[in-house]
Amino acid sequence: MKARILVLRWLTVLAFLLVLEVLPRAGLVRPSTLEPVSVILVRLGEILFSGTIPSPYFARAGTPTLASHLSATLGSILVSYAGAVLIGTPAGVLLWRFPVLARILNPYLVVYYALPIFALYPLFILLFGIGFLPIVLLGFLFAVVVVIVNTALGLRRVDEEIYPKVGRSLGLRPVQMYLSIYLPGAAPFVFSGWKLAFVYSTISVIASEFLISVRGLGHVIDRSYRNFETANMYAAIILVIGGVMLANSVLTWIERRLYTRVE
Amino acid sequence: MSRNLSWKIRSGQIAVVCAFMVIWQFLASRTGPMFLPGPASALRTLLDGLQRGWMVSHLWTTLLEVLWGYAWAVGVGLFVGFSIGASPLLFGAFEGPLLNLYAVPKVTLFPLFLAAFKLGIPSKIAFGAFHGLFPVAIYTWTAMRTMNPVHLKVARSLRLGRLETFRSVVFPAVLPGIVVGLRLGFNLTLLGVVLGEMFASRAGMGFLLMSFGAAFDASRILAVILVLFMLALAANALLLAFERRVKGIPELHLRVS
Repeated sequence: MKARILVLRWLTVLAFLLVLEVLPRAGLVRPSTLEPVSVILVRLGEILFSGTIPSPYFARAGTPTLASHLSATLGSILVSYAGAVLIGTPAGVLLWRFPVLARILNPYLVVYYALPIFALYPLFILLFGIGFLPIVLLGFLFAVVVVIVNTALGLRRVDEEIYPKVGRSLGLRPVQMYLSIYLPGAAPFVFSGWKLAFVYSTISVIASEFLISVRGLGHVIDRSYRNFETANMYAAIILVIGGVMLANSVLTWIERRLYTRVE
Repeated sequence: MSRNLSWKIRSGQIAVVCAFMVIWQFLASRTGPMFLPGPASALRTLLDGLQRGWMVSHLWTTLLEVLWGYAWAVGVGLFVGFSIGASPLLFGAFEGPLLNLYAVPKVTLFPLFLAAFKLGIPSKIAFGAFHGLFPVAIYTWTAMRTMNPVHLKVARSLRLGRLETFRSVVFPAVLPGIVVGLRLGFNLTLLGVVLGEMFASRAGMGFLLMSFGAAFDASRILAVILVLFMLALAANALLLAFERRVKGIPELHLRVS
């Protein structure tokens, strides 16, 4: 079974790549639409190796290096993510400590992710100008609520277990209750929130850069698309998707370990 | 719950909305109407947009794209979800990759949709569907895999046929899980459609956002945002009511992931 699963998974991936290689080579798709996978991978290699994007547009714009875009994207993700974790976690604790507050905010939290929040981006640009601030603000708004909710849920789940009773009957002080009961008990759920927050802030930052910006990997994809630099565009797409998948796999691996430790 | 507490929560919920309005008005008065118009002004612009019609045709375009996108998202999502949920082989092979794909910024793939479909409405429908099908599929296969195996045993000992087993055992058992996926799927479809319109289009609410952005027309941007948010809230009210009916519980639990 295990072997068949792996064979099926990798055969599918391989078949997909093969189709992407053959379609443009056979002339079924124009090269302005899709370059063969091999060409894209070579281009990605060149960009990574030389550290510059081979494009007259980015040379003129004064941002020819990959580092200038990578640092913009990573910086925005990091700041919005840190904000979401540092503000969202204590807010989640508050929500758990004050159940009435939780019940008041519950309907708003449930529908929060229904709102197409990227609609705010043009308004933020109007208010703060094109650049770092609107991107970070949007990333923060997109990521913070999942941290709040998961923190509150995780702590509430610990309350439903027997451990807090054990702690109280052992006469633990409040600090000890937090450190040795609630922190380890809620850790996997809180971590799930942190992981999702990372995913959400990444999605938001890349999407904002993609829509309106002057730097960042999303910007590279957008500009390459508009300038018909297809190989550059796909190289940047693969870089973004590969990077996010890698980060996500690592976070999921940590998450699984946390859950198995609790159970 | 005591009457007193319920009253407290209701008034608290109203207070949240009031506080939001007050903060909005305060910020608006600080920045000036050029940048951030207040709630009243935004509402006036919204009504103007509906009366004089500069918003109406774009709203229809977006609604059309969202509805078609959602129909595709539900259809494809349910098909993928049931296929993966029913087969351990497919589950093993594709669960991880699909979950990983769900987490990538799908917006980067929009140029592919523009290339594969036409620039106008079809690419937005496809992109919206691509966003929305993930939660539908994921919640469907999760519901199927967490189904109580005893139910299936009972069905087998009653010698139910495949179709009958699905209709009267599998479907009711997985429905509560699926309806959550259906709601989240709608939200992502709407997000995908608006994103697609914002990136490249000549019609729709996302297009309006970008063109009013370029024209520095804050009050019209806000009016469009308001309409989009109200659309999202109305659709969610419907889907949440459906969710409560299916689950048969009055209280919603928090779950957003």
